[in-house]
This record gives sequence, structure tokens and C-alpha cells, in this order.
Amino acid sequence: MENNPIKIIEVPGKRPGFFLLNFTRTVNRILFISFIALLLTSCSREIQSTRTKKAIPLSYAQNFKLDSLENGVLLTIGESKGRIKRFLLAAEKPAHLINGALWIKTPVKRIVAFAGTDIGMLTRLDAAEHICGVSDRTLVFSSAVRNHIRKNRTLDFRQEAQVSFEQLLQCKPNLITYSDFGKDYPHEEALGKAGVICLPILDWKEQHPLGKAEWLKVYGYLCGKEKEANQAFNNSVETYNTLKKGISSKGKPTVFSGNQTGEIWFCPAGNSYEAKLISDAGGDYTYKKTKGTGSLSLTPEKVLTDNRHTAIWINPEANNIRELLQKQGRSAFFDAYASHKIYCYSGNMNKYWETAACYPEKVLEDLITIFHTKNPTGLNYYQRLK
Amino acid sequence: MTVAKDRFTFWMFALLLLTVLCFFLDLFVGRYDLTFNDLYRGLFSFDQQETGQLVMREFRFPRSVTALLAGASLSVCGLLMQTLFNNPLAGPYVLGISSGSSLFVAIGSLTGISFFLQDAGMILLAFVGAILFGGIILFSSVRIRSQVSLLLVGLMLGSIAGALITTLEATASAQELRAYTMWTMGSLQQTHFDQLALFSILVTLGLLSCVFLIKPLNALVLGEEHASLLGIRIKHFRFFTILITAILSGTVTAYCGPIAFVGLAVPNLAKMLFKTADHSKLLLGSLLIGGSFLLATDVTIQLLEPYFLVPVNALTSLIGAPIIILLIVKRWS
Repeated sequence: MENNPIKIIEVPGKRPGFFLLNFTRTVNRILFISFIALLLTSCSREIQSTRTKKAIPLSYAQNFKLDSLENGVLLTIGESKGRIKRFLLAAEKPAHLINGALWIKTPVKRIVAFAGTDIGMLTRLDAAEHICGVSDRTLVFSSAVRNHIRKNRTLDFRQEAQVSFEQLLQCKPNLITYSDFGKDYPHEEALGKAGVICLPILDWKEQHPLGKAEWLKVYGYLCGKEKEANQAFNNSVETYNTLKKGISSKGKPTVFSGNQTGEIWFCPAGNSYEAKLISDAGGDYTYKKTKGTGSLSLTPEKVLTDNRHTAIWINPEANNIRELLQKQGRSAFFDAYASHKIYCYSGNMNKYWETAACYPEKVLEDLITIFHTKNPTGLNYYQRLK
Repeated sequence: MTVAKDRFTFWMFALLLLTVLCFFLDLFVGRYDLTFNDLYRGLFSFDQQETGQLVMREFRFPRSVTALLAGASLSVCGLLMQTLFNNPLAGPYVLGISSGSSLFVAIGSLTGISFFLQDAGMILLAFVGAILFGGIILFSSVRIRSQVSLLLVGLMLGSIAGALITTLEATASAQELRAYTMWTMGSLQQTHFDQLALFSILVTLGLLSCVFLIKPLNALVLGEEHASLLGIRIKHFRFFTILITAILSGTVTAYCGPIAFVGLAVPNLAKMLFKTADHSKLLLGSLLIGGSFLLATDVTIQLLEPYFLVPVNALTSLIGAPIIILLIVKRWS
């Protein structure tokens, strides 16, 4: 032991080679700490961004959120329990994007409008010139957009379902707005790589008529017309509430809404947008106590027995009495048919589908006139079926 | 022989009773409570102001009669096709007759012509489609000798119709697509009281003419050659069998849309029950089982209605498909 030139220092409880092992551990620790530090730094950047986040208050809309950030506006689309998509609306590309948000350069110059209501909203904000593509010209009401189509400034894709990736790129859009029915837009990822952002529009899911109109704010921020959007929305709210207050003392006529396709009647459910409009217009809706925000599927027998003596029938999806009887031969058994109190927005379907969402006060005005006057005239959307 | 005859008599009596029971159940099961008085007055001294009579005359009675006749027709068609092609998996729609109806209804409803989106327009188109495709098959049956080749022609017609429908669907609007989709779900509710007479006459004539096919059908069970030796003119027999099938299934498809599995499952059930190749018994059995089957399906739909709506085509498939699986398993094991 004494002749051995190398002395091994024995440390109680430790194996020989302790120092070598200790060195490796130390390096590992340093690396681990560095990694954590890096992670925290990046997180802190995100926290910094979210700390400066300030919610922009919304009054009725449930399916989008707006937050003001230092470098732009964060648009969150979707329900809290469902799919959520985030977009940062900013003039300059930020160094860091929080929570996987996609950057939309504002004001957006070229929009392909596939949602239907988007054309109405943009037209109301006097931003129709930004629309560079529509799904079908025959469904467009806006005269400005029709004019652009005629002058080849706006492309008519004819059929949204058949639009190809190449066709879309040819149009050189910055943004595609589309109605999200639970699926991403086709080729969304590939379009994103080409710099085209697909923005889902969920205004159809809003349960309050003014909730639909509040989507004007989204288009306002997209086109740099937030002041105009807020002003337009506030005007709608004010008119809507004034009209609603005006009818509170009047009687409530019984009303039903819906139409038959095949063997099934589709009527708005009790918590739907249409049921809300009927209630706000002072109507007593047959299915007001039912649950759900979409449509009820009912048998013709049930609808007839429930509504034989209902005073007013709205939205039968027919242009005139002849067409109604051809479509639904049993319509003649309703009292509303005998008393000629069947109304539909069929005077101009395109106008209704495109603009009713951003002018809920006009729809309400129509319904109040229908429900509470003997001979309704001067209606915005509706007409009595003749 | 006597045991077999007793067995047949027993089952016929039981099936007749079941059919009557299902018919009356179908008349009186529903959201709105109806009485026999509503039935009598609704049919013979109708007062439109009485909701009970109105419901009976406009909904319940046409629906029950339609279910009875459609079920009977499709089952008889299925039996004819199964014997003609000597294949237990053949059905009334195997010749592409239903595809013809579907194609014409699709052309009408998916091209947006408003008349064709309506009941009368759809019935007309479905009938024209069935007769046209039935005509092609009839023409082919004269030219083609092999049953298998004829079956293939029917399947190819179905494929062509399917491809054309898909093309039309790709360019249709949401409303047109909805109208067409609803038609494909089948319905026993589309026949109005006024249309019931025409529907009943066409179906009854078709069913009655099957009586003339009993002898050749029984002979064909032995094979085509034996049937020829027994004096059956195969080409003529084939022509009339297909003609009757086209009229019956075309009429049902026109008034009710496509109704799956009844024509496939019911004749097999009848064969299992009666254990005979005698088509006089099988035709009667299929007729009653088919009628009561579709009536029972409709009763189920009415009972489920407060909770959710089940399309008739879906429910017949839900009940029919397990029967077919059972048959296939039994056959191959």
C-alpha cells in the first residue's frame, strides 16, 4: 500500500472515480439549468405580452373575443369548450406570437369572402373594395360587389365547394373568410404557407341578433375601420333596443316559424336567434320553451296540431302561395293560411342572407310591423305571400 | 303434408292478425290522441275544422296504407328477383330501378327547378326514372341470355346513376342538396289522401299480376333448363317479372323514396318461416310479412318521435342489416 505512488482518496460512502462522475453531473446540471432559464425567458416574453393584454369589451357576441396588445389586437374565435383559433391583427409582424396565433397584416387589402354575411358586413363598413373573390355572383346582393365582379376586380368562384388551391392563389388574397361548421378550411395549412390566412366566421352561432351584428367589430379591426364598426354597431343596438321597448305594452300574437323539407319540419329552437327575434318583436312563439339554439326537427303531424290556430306563420321558404302549396300541400290547413298571414323574407333572399346579420334592427322592425299592424307595409325584408 | 299445410295455415292466420294489429296500432299511435270516431268520420264524413279528423285523414290513414302497400310490394319484388337470379341477396333495387328514380329526382332537385323540388314533381321524376331504367333492363333481358350478365347490367346502371348524382351534388346549392338528401331518407308521409287511390291501384294491380308468375317461379327453382323442359318460356317470364318489379318498385320509390332492406330481408324471412319453395305460399307470406314489417317500423318511428326522428330508410336498414348478416353467417357456416 505504501509503495503505491498513486494515492486514492477514499471518501466514505463514495465509490472510486467519484470526481469524474461528479464532473459529468455538474455539466448536466449546468445544461439543465440553462435549458430551464431559456424556457423561462421565452415564457416570460409571452407572459410580458399577455400581461399587457387588455380585453376589448363585447356586449352580445359569444363566439369571438378581442384583446388589445402592445403590438396589435388579438382576435380569438371559437367557444371556450370548443375549437379555438387565435389571430394577431397588426400592421407589423411581431417578433413573438402568443399561443400559436397567426399574424394577419392589417389593414387587410384583399379578402376572399366565402361566409355570405361577410359581404354585408364589409359593405356596411364601406370596405367592399377589399373583396377580391366571392363564392357565387348569383347569391351576391351588394351592388358595390356586383359592380366589382362586372369589372373583373372581384373574382366569381361560382362554387365554393369546388374552388381549387391554384384558383385561390391566382386571386392573390391575404385573407379568406369562411363559415366554420366544425372543419378547417380545405388546404388551410398550404394556404398559410403561401401567406393566405383562413379566418373562420362563427356569426351563425350567435344566439342574440345583436351578437351577429357585433361581428362588425371583427371586420372593422381587419380593415382598419374599427371606429366606423363600433359606430355602426352602436347605432344598431340603440335602434334595436328602442324598437323593442316600444312594443312592450302591445298584445302578443301567436307565431310559428319554419318550413318542411321531405318528411321533416325545421323550426327554430327556443334559444335560437330567430326565437329571440320573435320574442323581442312581441310575438308568442309556439316552441319558445324548447331547448337548443339550432333547429327543431318535427313531424308534419305535430306541427299541424300545434299550429292549426296560430295567428302568424313566418319563414316558410316560399316566394308565393302557389309555390307554398306545391311544396307543402297541407299548408292550407293552417289558420294563418286562411287569414293570409304568412310572411317570408323571400322578396329578396340574397338581401336577407347577406345583410340581415348586420342590420338586426331592420329585421326586428319588420317583425314588429307584421305582428302589431293590420296591414303591414314598407317592410325591409319580409313580404306577405300572395 | 297435412302437418306442413297446418303449419302454413297457422302462420298465415298469425301473420294476418299481426298485419291488422300493426295497421291499427299505426293508425292510433302518435302525439295526437285519435278515436275510432275520428277514423270513421275522417274517411266518410270529413269535417276539416275537426283536428282529429284532419290528422286521421291527412296523415295517419295515408301513412298506414302506404306502409302496408309499400312493405308488401317491396317484399314481393324482392322474392321475384331472388328467384329470377337464384340469389338470396338479390332485391327489388338490384336491377338499378331505384337508381333510375334517384338519378331523375337528383336531376330535378339538384338543378334547382322549383317544380321538381315539390312533392308532385319528385313523384313524377322518380316514376319516369324507374320506368326508363326498367325499360333498359327489359330491353337487355331480351338480348342477354345469362342471368348473371343481366344482374351486372343492373349494377352498372346503378354505378352510372351514382356517378352522375355525385357530379350533380358537387354543384348543387345547400337547399337543393337538403331536398335531395331528405328524399333519399325515404318517407311514408308524402302520400296525400288524394294520391292514395292512384298509389293503391298501381300497387294492387302489380301484386295481383304476380299470381300469373307462380307456376313459372316454382319451375325456375329447378333451374332454367328444367323450367324450359316444363314448358316455361323463359324470355317471356323474365320480361314480365322485370316489368312487374319495375312497376311495383318504381311506384313505391316514387311515392316513398328509396326504402332499403325490406325487399332483401323479408323474402328470406318468409323462406325461413315456411320452409318451402312453393311461390304461392312465399308470395302470400312475403306480402303479409312485408306489410306488417313496414307498419311495425312506422309504429317504432312514431314511438321514438318525442325523443328523435328516425328516417324510415335508416330504421329499415337498422333492422334489416342484422337479418342479412345472420343469413350470410348461417349460409357459410
